[in-house]
Amino acid sequence: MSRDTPELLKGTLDLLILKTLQSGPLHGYGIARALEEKTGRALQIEEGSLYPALYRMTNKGWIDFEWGLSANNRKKKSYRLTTKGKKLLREKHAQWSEFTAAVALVLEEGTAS
Amino acid sequence: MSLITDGWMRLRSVLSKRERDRQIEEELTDHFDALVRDLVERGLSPIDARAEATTRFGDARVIRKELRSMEAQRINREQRSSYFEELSQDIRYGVRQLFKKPAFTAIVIGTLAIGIGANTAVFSVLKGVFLDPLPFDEPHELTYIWHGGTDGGCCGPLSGPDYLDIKEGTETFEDIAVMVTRNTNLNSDGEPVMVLGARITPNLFSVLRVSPAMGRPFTEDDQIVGNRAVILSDGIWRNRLGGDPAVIGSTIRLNRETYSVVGVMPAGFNAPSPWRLNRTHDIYLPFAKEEIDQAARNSHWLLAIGRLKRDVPVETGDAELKSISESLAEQYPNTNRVKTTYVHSMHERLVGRVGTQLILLLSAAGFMLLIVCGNVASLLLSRATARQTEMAIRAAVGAGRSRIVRQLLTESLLLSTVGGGAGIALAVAGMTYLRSVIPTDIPRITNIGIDGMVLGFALLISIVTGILFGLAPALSASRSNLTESLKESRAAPQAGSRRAVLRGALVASQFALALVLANGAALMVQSYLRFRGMEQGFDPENVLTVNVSLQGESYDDVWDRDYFLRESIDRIAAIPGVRHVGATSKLPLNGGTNGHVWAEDDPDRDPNLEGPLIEFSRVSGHYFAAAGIRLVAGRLPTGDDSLAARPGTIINQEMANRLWPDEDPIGKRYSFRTDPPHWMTVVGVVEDVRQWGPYTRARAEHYLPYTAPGWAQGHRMYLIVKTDIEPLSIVGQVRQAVLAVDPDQPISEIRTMEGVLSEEFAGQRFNTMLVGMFAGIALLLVSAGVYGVVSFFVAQTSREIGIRMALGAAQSKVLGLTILRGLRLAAIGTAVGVGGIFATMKVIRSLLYGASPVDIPTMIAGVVALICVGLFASLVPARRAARVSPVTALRSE
Repeated sequence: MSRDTPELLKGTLDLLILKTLQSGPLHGYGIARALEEKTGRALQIEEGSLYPALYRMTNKGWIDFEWGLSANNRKKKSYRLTTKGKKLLREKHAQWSEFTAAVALVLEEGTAS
Repeated sequence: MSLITDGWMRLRSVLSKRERDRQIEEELTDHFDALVRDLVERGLSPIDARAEATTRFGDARVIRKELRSMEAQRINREQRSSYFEELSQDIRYGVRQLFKKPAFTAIVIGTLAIGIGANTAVFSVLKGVFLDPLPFDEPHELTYIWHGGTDGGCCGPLSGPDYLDIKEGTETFEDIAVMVTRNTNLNSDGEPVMVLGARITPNLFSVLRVSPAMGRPFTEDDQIVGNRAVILSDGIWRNRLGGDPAVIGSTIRLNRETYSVVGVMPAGFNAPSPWRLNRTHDIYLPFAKEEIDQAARNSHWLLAIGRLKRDVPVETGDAELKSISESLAEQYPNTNRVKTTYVHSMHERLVGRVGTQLILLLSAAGFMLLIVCGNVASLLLSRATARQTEMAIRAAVGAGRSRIVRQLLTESLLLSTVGGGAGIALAVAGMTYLRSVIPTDIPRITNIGIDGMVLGFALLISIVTGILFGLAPALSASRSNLTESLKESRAAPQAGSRRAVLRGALVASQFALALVLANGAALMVQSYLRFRGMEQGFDPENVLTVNVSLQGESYDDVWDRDYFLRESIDRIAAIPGVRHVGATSKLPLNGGTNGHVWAEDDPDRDPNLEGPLIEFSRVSGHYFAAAGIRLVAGRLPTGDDSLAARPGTIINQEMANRLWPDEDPIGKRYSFRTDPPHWMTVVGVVEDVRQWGPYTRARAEHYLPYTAPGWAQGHRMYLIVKTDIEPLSIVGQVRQAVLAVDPDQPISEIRTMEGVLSEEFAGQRFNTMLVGMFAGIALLLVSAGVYGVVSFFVAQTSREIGIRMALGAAQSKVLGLTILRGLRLAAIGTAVGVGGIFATMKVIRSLLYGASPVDIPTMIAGVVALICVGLFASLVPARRAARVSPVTALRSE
């Protein structure tokens, strides 16, 4: 995703992060790699957009962070979904489905004819 | 484990910005390194990997900035919400705690209410009387202009020609107006009634910047003799004339003459006279031009009010008028040679002298409040000991010390604000009573009330009080050692003894404050009694005084007035129970009128020099007998004395001493400074009677027979009636007697001489009463404080006492030791208090009317009294200590 991510795509990034965290807490790098893998390397999040998104979502209360110790005793910050975040994930997921369905309808129309 | 790491990291990021940035840095670096590692794993060279990672991260600086600001936002929001959460927690907890101990809470709130209420009430008086600006536009520009002597004497009214010259010559004043106050008889339907009138120059309203609410102000035409115009006050228009909207153009009868109403002033307006502080002028009449133009230059009778030009200070106006006086002195050496002018700000003259007194009263109330704080702090400290376990547990569960202190302070503030609210209620309730007992020589009484500023003041002192008495106990209570307090069921000795020392210090300081207060009160009482018991020079017992106002054309001739007086006196003398009747133009102690005189055979008499200033009044009938003024030499005036070419007069001792020291004054002649001089002969000398209130020495004075020529025409006279029975019981008959002589003549200012005398002391009485009350409450509080501390001590050491007694200590010894504790506090406190008395000595001088504030016998009495208080307050707990059964004490552990 490019730096000048328009609102629509920023919202999508949020949705993806929320979904990624649904399976369990992850640190920042973990989130980036998980997304890469899930999409089969089709989607590559730029690190520059990831952290601002994470901090923003923390401020909004959708995710929360926790400092812990890594295997080699280094301080590591990991993120997890909050209750509010879980609810939002469901909403945004539904919104996305509606949106894509609508777009698909429009596009198919052209093809059909 | 991770909980601790997380908490630790969060705490550090809250506390230090650098740490916050470091943590962001760490997170990003972590990601970077992990990325590089992965890329290397996928086959890139380390260098290429780093380059790739850097590209992927983009503009690191921008990102960092963004992250930092978002992190800062997050922390702020977190802190704010937790702050409010904690505050509401504290308040709820505090309220619950207070309800748990209702007696304690009630006592504390009660004493706080008294302390804060008293301060609020006194402050409301201070504000209404002194702090509030005068009810005029730009009141700081308004001044009074007085005539004084170059020898420094001040302050008298101006003369007409002097006023006109000053008014013309001034450049610092925007305008100057003059006025005099006259009692006037209003003859409306029904009984004639006396109203307060003011004769004014038409520009008085413009100087004060007020316009009539109805009709018009006075013009120059109104000043022509014969054009009888009058302007009414709002009060009299509503009360006496029914608020008739068609009043303009209607007529009223004043002094039996018809006047036409041309205007009505707005509600609340009153021409400000410094001699009638709480009375409203009912009507305004214009001076005739000649009254001022053609008056004598050395007849001083006009109250001058001037408005300075914008931004001109009073001192500049004063200096200019003084120089104008100097040029007048050169122009008219006969009359003005030793005259000068004084300019005083109106605010200063009207309320200035009361300001100091009120501030001192407020300080006394403040002392009392401090003592209240001491008591409450002491009570809280004792509670701290009881709540030790609670505090220790809270600390163990993780509440920081600051959190505990905050919570305890919240409790204290809760107490003090509730106490403050109760205090405000007390003050409001007491406001009506206060306004009725406040002495009438305090100006602007109607302006006293509880308004926003007063409420703000109450709130402020509630908060300050809460912090004052709450801080020390809060700090002390939070300093608890968990293990120790859980181990011992009684007080942990360290914290306990530290607290005991603190409480002891509190009580000692309360003693000091109470001593200063009690000493002040004792001195004030002494001073009051001394002044009250002074020989006044007249006998006020069973004397009735009424005022009659002989104005208008029918009384222009002195013989007409004289006839009225003689007739009235004769009729009143016929009333059963009346012993003597007389008349005078001024009452003792009620101010005076004065002028300069010459003695005839004064060989050094320089015609250009003014003689000494003499008070004068006119008398008729058996005035001296009625007033009980003793004759010390010569004889009383007879009828012939007023007819003689050189009328015979009575002078007082002071005048005799000043004009003819060491000589017999009988037969000596003197005159006022008229041209040609009008000689009068002394026929008798009477005792001195004070003219200017009970605190000023008697001045030289002479009494003129009524019809004798001279100054002070005597249009306004007081009838003095000495009775064998209660004076007020004959008021109706006196009124009838006067009406029989003149049916349009009301009597007014009906008082007894005792009442007049008492009124003079009303101010001192009021101050003394208040301070005495504060001192009394303070002593009560102090004794409660000592009692509390010593009881506490007994309770804490009952075990030790038990041991002592088991080992054979006599009861009396235990008693003695306990009492000694209380006495020691009293001793330290009074020692500090004595220092305090010396320190505040200059300050309270003005409340004592001349008595010295450092009066050793009184101080010693105060010290002894306080030590006795300490003694008796310790007695009860001491006896309890002595009755401790050693067996019980040792057993109950």
